[in-house]
Amino acid sequence: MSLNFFTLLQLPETFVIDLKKLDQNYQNLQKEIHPDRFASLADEAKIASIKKAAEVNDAYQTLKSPIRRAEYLLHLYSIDIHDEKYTAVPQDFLMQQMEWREELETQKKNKQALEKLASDIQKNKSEMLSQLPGYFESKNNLNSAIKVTRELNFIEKIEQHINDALIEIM
Amino acid sequence: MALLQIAEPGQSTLPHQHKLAVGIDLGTTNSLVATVQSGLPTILKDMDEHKLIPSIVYYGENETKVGQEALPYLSTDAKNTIVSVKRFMGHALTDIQYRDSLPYEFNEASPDIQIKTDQGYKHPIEISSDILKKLKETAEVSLCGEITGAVITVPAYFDDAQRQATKDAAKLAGLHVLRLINEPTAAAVAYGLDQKKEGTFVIYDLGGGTFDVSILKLHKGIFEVLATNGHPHLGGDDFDQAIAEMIKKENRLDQLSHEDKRSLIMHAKGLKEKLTEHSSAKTIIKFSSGKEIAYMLDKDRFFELTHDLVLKTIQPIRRALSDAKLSIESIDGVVMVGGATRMPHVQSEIKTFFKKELLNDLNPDEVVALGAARQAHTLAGNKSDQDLLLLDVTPLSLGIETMGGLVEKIIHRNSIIPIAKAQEFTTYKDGQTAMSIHVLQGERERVSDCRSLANFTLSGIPPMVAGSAKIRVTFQIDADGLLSVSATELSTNKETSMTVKPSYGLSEEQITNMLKQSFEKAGEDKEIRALSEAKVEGEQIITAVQNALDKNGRQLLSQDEFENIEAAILVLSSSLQLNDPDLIISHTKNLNTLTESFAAILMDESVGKALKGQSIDKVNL
Repeated sequence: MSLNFFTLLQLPETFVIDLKKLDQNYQNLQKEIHPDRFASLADEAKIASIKKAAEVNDAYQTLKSPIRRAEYLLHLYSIDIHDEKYTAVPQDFLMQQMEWREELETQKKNKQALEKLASDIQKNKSEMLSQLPGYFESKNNLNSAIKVTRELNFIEKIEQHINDALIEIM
Repeated sequence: MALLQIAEPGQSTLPHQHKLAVGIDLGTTNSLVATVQSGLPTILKDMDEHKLIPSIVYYGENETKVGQEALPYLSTDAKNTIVSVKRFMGHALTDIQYRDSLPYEFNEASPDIQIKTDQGYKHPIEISSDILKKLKETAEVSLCGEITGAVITVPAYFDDAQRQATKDAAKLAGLHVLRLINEPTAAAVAYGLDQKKEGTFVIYDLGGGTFDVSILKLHKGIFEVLATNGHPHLGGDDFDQAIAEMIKKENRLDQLSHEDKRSLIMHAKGLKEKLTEHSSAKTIIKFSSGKEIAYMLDKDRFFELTHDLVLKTIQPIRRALSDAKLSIESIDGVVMVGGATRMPHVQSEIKTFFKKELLNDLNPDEVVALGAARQAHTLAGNKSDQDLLLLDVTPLSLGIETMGGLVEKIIHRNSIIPIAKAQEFTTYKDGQTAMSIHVLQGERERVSDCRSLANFTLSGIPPMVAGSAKIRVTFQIDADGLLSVSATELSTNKETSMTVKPSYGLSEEQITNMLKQSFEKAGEDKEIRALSEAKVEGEQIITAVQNALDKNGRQLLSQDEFENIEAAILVLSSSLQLNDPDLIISHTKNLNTLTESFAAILMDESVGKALKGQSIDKVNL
């Protein structure tokens, strides 16, 4: 039996969740079902526990990240943001993306420039994240939620690349 | 699959007396074994009162010597005396660097590493198992009893092949592995429980041959790893090597015998250790030719020579911090683990980096084994540390090969384990009944830059039109960090079978053969041992199933299910009276299969219980 991640972690099915409660409920669950609770039994006996613990871990990590949580909520509304019909990206965001990528490529060895870029992107990201609760509140605005979640996916990737570049030069 | 008994808090899973369980730190240069005695973890000493057992095995024509006893052979019979075997675990022959500097002869005909000794070819897994046997024996002599289970530590940055190799070595040594745990996590357990530390900690673990860094949150008995990183081949050994190379160069020692090279390394190690306390160190090296060299090294020279080795540990720290989304300021403490962290320039570099005093309260050589002993004690079902819960992560991303030699990631590094992710595949040809999947581990985008773990061939796919078969492949990493893969064809709901070709390590058959050989050599009766193992397992399962049935079997099972399980218990318990291991194993299997769905129902019950908040009070204390 697979439970809805929100049900599993005993949280209301909303975008805005109580992160402290998420941590606490997650830890309570793991205390009951973690394979370490069944370690003295034979290997085969642990399989059900491993499966359940894996499910709880997946649920926890999905709900903990706001981007993954948004994707999951959309998935519950039968929307797959990676589906072909949503692949069109607005022109202005595309331009912005290309600018960032170019900056990253040309300033790969420049710590200050990279840190500046990272902080610019971080500002953008925070602003987009702050829009999501509103879009999810009334399900009417799901198209905006899809758009922003997709864009956040791009931003997450470029953030990772900037981080990698920063670690490389330090 | 078997029935699970859900243990009530404060109650062990099996109604038994105190079980002897040990924690083992299987190190590159030294190994240790520890246990919990009267509530306190203690390192067990060998007969000569040594705590550290050198990870050295000597294979003479008629004798095998391990640990201290193997030491003298290092500089007299280098070819047959194997050191730092941990560096070979889970690797292929082509992975070995600096082969010329090693005194061993390898089997060139084998892709696996096989070292030629006077006892024939030895696989790294066999050599490790000889070290583990020595540790087991040390513990059993010291505790006057049989060990029921062990927690073995591995570097957090070990990949799947290296973990599997370690588990196989334990199996070969006749050890029941309760869990493989990561070395920095074990160290954190020791600090968290013995020193009552709480907060966010960095564990900096520089051992003999490996470097790990883990960031953990310690809170009320819960040890949550936020991120881990490391370097698979960096440790104290490299510092010795650097000194030895310098001595060689300065004295133009080109043509050294293997024994001389070994002796040179041991002198280098001696110099390094002296420099921890003194500002300069001196040694006299005698070579087999009769030549003698007096060598002096001072602190500054040594620090300069090895500074870049210390710097190599900084990048993994940055990566771990970045993955954990933490800044240096949010770290509450830095714990130093591993003998190599005694070096003053390592200490000062890390102190400067974190701008913090370092934690050295527990002996850096012993802390990993002590933490492992704590975990072993709990896992064996001895009541203690009831709330101890380790939530660890996988150090490396796992992916599969896609078009153009690229890797598609399926499980990302630093995901909490256990974790399972499913991926759907389809056929590209009409009537296609098989397909192969290449599994890789690593962070890079190209297949050639990642470690190949295995090639799976899925077969038994029902013949269909191209693209209509849907095969769901589930990749699961368990709490030991080990991967398993299963596949189901969705339209027919048929489990597809698969053959696994691991890229490294031993097949099940090879292990069985090695086990057989070692029994023959030890003069043990394999039959008797198999029978006793089968009986123990059979009895365990009966107890577990019976308890669960008594508790809520009537509510959760249908009349038929209930009676079938009861009948299977009866059959199994009567077969325990007969001395036929195969019969017992087959009846045990039968009971396991019957209780499979009951185990899942119980697990959901358990979730339901936790959801109702029955155990929340415990956490809010």
